[in-house]
Amino acid sequence: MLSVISATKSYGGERSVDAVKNVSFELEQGKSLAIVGRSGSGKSTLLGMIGGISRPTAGQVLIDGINQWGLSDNERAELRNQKLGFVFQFASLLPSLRAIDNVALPCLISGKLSGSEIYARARALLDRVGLSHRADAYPGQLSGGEQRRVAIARALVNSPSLLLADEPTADLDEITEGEILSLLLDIHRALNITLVVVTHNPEIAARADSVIEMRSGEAAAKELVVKEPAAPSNTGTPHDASVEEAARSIFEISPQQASTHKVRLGEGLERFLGRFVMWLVPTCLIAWGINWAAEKYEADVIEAKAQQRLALEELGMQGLRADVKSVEFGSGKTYVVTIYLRNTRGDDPLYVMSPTFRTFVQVATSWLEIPTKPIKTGSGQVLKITGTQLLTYEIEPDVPNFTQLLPYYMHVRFTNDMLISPRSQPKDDLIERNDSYYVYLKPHDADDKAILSKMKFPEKPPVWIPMPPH
Amino acid sequence: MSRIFSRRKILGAAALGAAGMVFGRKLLSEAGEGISKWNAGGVGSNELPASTEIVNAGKLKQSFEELGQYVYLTPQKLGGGTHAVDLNSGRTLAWISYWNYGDSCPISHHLAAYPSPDPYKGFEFINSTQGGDNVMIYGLPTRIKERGMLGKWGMGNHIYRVQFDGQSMNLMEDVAETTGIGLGVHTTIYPDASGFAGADGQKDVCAFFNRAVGSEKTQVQMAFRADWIGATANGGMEENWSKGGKIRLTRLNAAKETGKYDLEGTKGNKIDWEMVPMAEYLVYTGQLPGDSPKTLTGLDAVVHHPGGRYSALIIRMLSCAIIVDRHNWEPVCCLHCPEGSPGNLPIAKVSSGPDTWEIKLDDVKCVGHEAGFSPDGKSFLMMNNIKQNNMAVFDTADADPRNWKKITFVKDPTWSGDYPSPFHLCFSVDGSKMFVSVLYPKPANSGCCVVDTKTWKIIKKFQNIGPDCQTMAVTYDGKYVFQIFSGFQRLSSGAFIFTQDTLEPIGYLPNFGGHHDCVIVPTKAEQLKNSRCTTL
Repeated sequence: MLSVISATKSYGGERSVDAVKNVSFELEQGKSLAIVGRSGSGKSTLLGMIGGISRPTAGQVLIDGINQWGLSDNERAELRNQKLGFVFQFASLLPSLRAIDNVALPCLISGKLSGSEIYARARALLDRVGLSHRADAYPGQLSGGEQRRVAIARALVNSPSLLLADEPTADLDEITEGEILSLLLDIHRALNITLVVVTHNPEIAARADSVIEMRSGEAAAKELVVKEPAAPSNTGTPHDASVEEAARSIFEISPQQASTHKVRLGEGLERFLGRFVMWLVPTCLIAWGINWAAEKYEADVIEAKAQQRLALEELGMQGLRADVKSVEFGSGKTYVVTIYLRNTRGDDPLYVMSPTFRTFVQVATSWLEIPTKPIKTGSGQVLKITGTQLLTYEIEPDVPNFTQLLPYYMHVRFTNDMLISPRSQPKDDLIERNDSYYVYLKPHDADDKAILSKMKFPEKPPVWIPMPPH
Repeated sequence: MSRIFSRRKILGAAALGAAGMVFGRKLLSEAGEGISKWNAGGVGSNELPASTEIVNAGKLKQSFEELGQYVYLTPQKLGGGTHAVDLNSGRTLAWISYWNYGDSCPISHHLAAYPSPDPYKGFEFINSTQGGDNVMIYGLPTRIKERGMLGKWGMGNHIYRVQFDGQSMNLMEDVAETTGIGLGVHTTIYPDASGFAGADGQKDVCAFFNRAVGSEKTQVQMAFRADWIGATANGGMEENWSKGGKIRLTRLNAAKETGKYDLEGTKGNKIDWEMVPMAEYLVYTGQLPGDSPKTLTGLDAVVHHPGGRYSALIIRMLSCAIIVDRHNWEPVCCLHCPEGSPGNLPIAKVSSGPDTWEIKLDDVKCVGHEAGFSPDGKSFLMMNNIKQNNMAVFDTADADPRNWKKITFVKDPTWSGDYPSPFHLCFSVDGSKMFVSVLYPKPANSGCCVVDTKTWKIIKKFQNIGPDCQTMAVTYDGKYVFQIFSGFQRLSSGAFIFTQDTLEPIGYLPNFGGHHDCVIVPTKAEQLKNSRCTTL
């Protein structure tokens, strides 16, 4: 089945180094060969030449009588795909594919079988290596030993006649190493596959049918060391019925079996996308819902605040009327000013906090503030306004140089700053209102005759002339 | 919204009112009388229909959209000029400021525009101005008087005829200077656009002018002065009017020597400043100075019946309207508006040298203010203010004004006391609705309401629009209504817009402050029925 004839592999130019020198052996179908030796002895290089990975510098490697290095690249790739199976030092599984996808992949690439057949075979192989329950697991979810089992199953999926294993138990613990080795040998025997295994482990070599020990690139023993079978149960020949049955159970999938495993290429991706969408949609919905709720809440709060503000404005501006009711001469140079606050809301009281009433007299183009003293105002208190309430102040506009817009009269501005609320103890339901009232005031010492000589009134010149709230 | 104005209360009250109305109709129907007779009693329900909708305009954002190919004309009052705005683009087409023409105190007050086939290429308008002591009633710490600016060139009462030539505004004529009649308040174009009328409540004078074009000079067609002769002239000031008396209407004649009248500037003023809304109080209390406040009638405006023959002289202190026949310039009758007063008073001619007429009023129950005719001429309305706060509705369908009858009143449960009060009015182009501005005292925002002209009930309110809502205007395509607010000359101002048909609020149009009137330039005489001609 496998003939290696004077295989040599050299590296470098004039000072070339022979990694493998003139190695020859033959291996029959269904037999196992262990290539042992120390590190750097040329084991893996020899295996690479057998597996078509590395072209021999000299010599030939024949598989079923075919010199693969005489084939074109495509033909050699086809040969490797169909006849060879590889188990490398590390599992080298594709991390984004499930175990079963990794197993099925080489067969899917060959395109010789339908997807359902390939996956049925992959499941059978996973079952054979004891991982049927982990078919949907991703490599990251598998232990090192499980990953090796998957790698072995992957190497077998194309039903190879020659299985090449390059230190397949490297970096595994002792127990797992033994399990994997046993599995490899069991499969080799059960499926009648020719096995070439490179190892530095003498125990592995001890369980192979024959052994070549490599030393500095040369086979230390020119002849194969043929050993007796390790166990009576594994003595079956390639024509043994149980072996055929085992192989058939894996590689010959009935239509019924295939139909029970309806899988397609990309099914995993679809499943992944499906799961992703299943998570994404509710996540987005929840996020959208939270955002919508927050937005609505904010809008409601803003609207409520705006409504409250409008209601307060209406309350402050239209619910309360205020103006000067009268101005009368007081004692000396003082005047008594009465303003009214009228609640227009009927029986609903209004609360006015601390009205601040101030008086200004026009001088040139400025307003000069003059003393204003509350008389009856309840100043400093919260006024409960239910009907009309009068507030009285005393002012003393002793301003000699006031501007006379009307002859002899002072031009006076009253300001009335109020905080208004529908409640006696407001929280945020409070609005400020700033009123200005304009009047002309007759000075105490003004001569009515002099005034009447400049202006005409139907009666005695009034003490004050209000300007309408216009 | 405060509880007194809550929708629930208003709707509840409206429902009661509606139920009462239905019950009342049934009773009257059973008695074999129709609704017109029921209304003829002069009593209109002050309850709102249950369907009345109330909109808080304060919630609207500033906005502007294309409002049609119209030119919108607004006088600035204390700003001293007038703007013409293209409603299609929001651009100001042109503006004029009378300061620049030597007027040292131009208070650009009211205006009316003549129709123009293409206002974008040109139109003319009449713009009255105040001046004199009127600048001193707004609380301005001004030195304008001290510096002599209220003298000869600052007395106001100009009647400017201004032309927009498609690019700029040009002052064509001061009609007051041409004719010798200075009037500073309302101006109204005749329905056939052949002239205009002006009036001034400080002088109690109104005048009718022909239409001058271009460099022509305006001529007076007729002028009247009204005087009040109180029945208790020696009593208290308020009783001078409330106890009744006589209106004496006198035809004014130009001086033979000059051909002009002697009423320019402040000449003829009975009071030193205008009666802004509620200033009638100051007349009552004797606090408003002037040469002759006791004879004051407050002849503030003239509106024209769309039929083209009659005009109404609006008398504020007495809440009445003297109907004048413009065919012969004779007064015909007097519509007396207060609730509880006879609706149509006769006029007696008492002298022919000059022509003088008198109207006897047994009492005066309240003052009045703005007024107007519906576009079809079948209704006349006038505001009753202060002691009554309502709108008198007259049936003016009859060809003879002496048969015009007061039929009902537009009322609102909130129109109680002195404020809020109905103020200016206009009508939708189809005449199915009347729009009324509703005035609140500062600093409160005013609003407007919509009245169904079949039932004379308020069907919608726009509240909280802005301070000092003044006149209103409609686009002649029947789409929009403009409610200008001037902010008591110094507060916020703008124009609130809503749709004529669906009464949906549109938003606000910015203006440059203090605009006191608004007119959309008509493109044909027919549109004057909805312009500053029939209504104020």
